[in-house]
Amino acid sequence: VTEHPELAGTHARGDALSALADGELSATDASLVGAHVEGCDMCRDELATLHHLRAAVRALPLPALAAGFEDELVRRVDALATRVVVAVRRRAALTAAVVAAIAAGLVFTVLPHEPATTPSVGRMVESHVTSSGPGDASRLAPAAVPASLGGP
Amino acid sequence: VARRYGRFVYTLAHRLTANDDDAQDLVQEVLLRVRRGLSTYQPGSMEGWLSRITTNAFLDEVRRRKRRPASALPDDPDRVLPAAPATDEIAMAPVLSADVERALHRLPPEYRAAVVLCDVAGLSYAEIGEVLEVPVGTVRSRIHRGRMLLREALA
Repeated sequence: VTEHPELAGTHARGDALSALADGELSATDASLVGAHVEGCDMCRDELATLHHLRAAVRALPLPALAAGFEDELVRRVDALATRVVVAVRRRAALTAAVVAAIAAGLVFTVLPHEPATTPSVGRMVESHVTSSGPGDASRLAPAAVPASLGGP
Repeated sequence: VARRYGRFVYTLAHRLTANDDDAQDLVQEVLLRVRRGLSTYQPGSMEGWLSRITTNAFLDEVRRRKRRPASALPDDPDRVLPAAPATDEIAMAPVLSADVERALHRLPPEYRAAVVLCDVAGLSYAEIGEVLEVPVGTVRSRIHRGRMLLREALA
């Protein structure tokens, strides 16, 4: 029997317990490791410790900002935020221009081929006449209407 | 908004560097890098982008100081933590914030960065992997190893 990768011997892997505490296991693995933890005192204690450590780091109080530094920081971040917005807008405009240019390029690439694929009848006739002489051109004229189909 | 992001960067910087002066220096460096990196910014997670810049600036500084032994940081990654107590000696009694902070600052920088990005910045393992440019499996083991070292330091 192949051991599940999240288990090591008779216990869950340590990093699998951390990942479980962080909600980073797939649903299948979380269910398997969770089921193991339910029945294993050692892994249950380990998981509780990991939850405790996570909570302790998350609960650290915000570091105090030196007087004056916060205002300076806010002023500089504000100035940068404006630049970020400008940069994003400029890039969006550039992207739109590139898309338009590509679209235009496609149109220009496709259009010149259109006359070649759909030549006018006049040009076909002209080309035929040039290559096979005037006599042949008469064959392109509409055939005479049979007398039987003519009027009374 | 500026205050929130300013606070976010400063808190991250402080958790990583462990003191006010280094945190302020790191924030200055981050602001410079943000300004230089505006062209690479993709609209999305501002926190993720700022975390990446802050963490990279921090790790760059750690490497720079490591090359100059005279001014080695107390958080040198090679610094040896106290021997781990046996598992049964460890009891997670309520701990003081100051002790947690001190223990966090004694972690080797790579482990500290992973733990801080997870528990302070609130990034997912995948996002942390992008910030640190390592696979998710490495993120997972660094976070867990970091927590184990925290536990030992707090025991």
